[in-house]
Amino acid sequence: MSWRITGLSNLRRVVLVQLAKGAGLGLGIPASRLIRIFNLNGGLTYRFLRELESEEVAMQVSRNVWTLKDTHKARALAELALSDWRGLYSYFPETVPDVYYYMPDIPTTWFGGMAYRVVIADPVLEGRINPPGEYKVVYTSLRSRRFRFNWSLMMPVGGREQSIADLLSYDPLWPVEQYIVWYYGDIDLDEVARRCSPYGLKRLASFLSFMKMSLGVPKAMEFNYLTLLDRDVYEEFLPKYFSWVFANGVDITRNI
Amino acid sequence: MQVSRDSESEEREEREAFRKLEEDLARSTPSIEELERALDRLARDVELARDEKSAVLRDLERVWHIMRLLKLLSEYFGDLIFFGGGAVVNYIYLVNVGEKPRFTFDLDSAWRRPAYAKRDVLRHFPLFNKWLAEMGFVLRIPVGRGRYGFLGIAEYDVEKDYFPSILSMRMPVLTRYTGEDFHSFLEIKDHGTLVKLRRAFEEVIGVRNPKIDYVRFEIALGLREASVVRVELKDLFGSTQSVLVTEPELQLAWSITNRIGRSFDAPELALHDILKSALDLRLSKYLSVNRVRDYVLRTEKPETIRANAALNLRLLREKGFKEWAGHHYVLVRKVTTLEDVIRSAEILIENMPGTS
Repeated sequence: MSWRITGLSNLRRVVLVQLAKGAGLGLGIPASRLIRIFNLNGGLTYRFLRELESEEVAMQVSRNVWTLKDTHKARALAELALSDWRGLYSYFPETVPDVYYYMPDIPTTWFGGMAYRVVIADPVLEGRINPPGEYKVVYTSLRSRRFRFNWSLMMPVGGREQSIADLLSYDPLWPVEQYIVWYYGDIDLDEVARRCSPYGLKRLASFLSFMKMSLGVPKAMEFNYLTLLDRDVYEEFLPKYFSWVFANGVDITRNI
Repeated sequence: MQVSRDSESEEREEREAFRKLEEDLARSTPSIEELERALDRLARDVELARDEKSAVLRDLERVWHIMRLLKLLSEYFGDLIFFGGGAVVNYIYLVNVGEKPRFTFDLDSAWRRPAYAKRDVLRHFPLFNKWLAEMGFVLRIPVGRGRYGFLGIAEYDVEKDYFPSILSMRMPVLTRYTGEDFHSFLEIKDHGTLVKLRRAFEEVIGVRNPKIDYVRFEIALGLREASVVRVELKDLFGSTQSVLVTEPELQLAWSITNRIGRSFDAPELALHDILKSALDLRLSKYLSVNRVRDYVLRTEKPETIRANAALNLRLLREKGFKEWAGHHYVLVRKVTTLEDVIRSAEILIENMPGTS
């Protein structure tokens, strides 16, 4: 963990770092989103922002959005805060305000290396950032998406159902269906369905139809996945379904 | 405000779901009258005791589901699949010639396209289930909190699938008499929903606590060259079935080569199968015995068949009375005896032209 500047609270450090990162991209920081994602105390956050405003460090640019002022004092404080903000080295945690993106929180590691990592980013970032090729950035509204800052990974990550829905919707290469087979009892699949894009919903429905036929589960759900099965999506993923569901050599021993 | 609107729409949705369930229930389960009519047709010339009548009614309900499954599979898969085995022999052929059927509770079929592994066939079933759901053949049962369980869709039968070239499938169906309690099968924990469901079941099928049982069916992968015919015959419920079935002579030939005339390591364990095949041979009176013989001789030498059949039928005569007493044979027992069944099979095999 990286809190080395003595005497500065988490809240103040978070606010300063986000304002500093936002200033680097010419973006303001929505205070309400900052409070939600970092789980900050709302009253104290607004009090600190007003303090920064009175000290000529920050200014309010609209009803809820704050930005760093272009003063020597503000720049110095921002640099100090950023120099102390060390997460796992990568483009997004280093440069992009954590209120404008998140990553699905499902372990995604290929044997032999990963092709890319999905990042769900706010459309305001489009044209402002230049991420390296290891990221597949999906620009879409972050409204009503469930994600939080993860202090171990030092980046915002999606909730479990949100992450599954995102991977189903935007990452056709990552076999998130396998994760559904392993943990289906712990996953609220209706919540996943509600958070999916139309493509993700077809993919989920197709897989659940296959899982129901093969394993007899899920027993009950809100959404009618049987009728939502999409023939094209089903045919696209079908060869993989067999190895995901009839795993550990069952397909060989039973001649499936 | 939002909450009350949501709960209102949930209630509306639930009311609609129960209305649809009652409608679908009437189509997905046989009425008591329908079962009793079938019983009357089958048992009009025999005297059944009260407990025997109940046993037959119970069995007929499962048979109704088997015949419905046969119709649905046949309608969806068309020429891709054909049917055979005891269900076709007894519920289609034998009842049409006025013989009493033995009861059998699974459906045998075979795939007519090249299938090198079960996945070649399994892959079609999610699409079959989608078709069933769209046609309103699937029961969507409310289990509380806006969730629904499905009955009447095809599933891979993970418990029974042992053989490499036979795909075992099953379909959970709602029955009056046999199976697991519906609330435990569907894991219903919501008391209000349970009460409403019981009311709906009582109203439509006359039973407050129906059961859920599996109708099992098998699809053989290696029989695509078998000779098939399309038949349009009335089944034992009086409904016309237009289905592709194994040529009946070939079906009987398999009964002889794979059961009665086969050498078993432990024939005692195969007694039930031998008895079933001996009963199915009753159909030979109405078919070309020469053709049956031709099919038999394609796979086995006549002396082998004769020797094995003599052993198996002798064992059946000595030890088969327990199997014969089962509820599967309640109707057949009224018109014949085990000895007559065995003797007819012996005569057929001994006198089969070319095998003596």
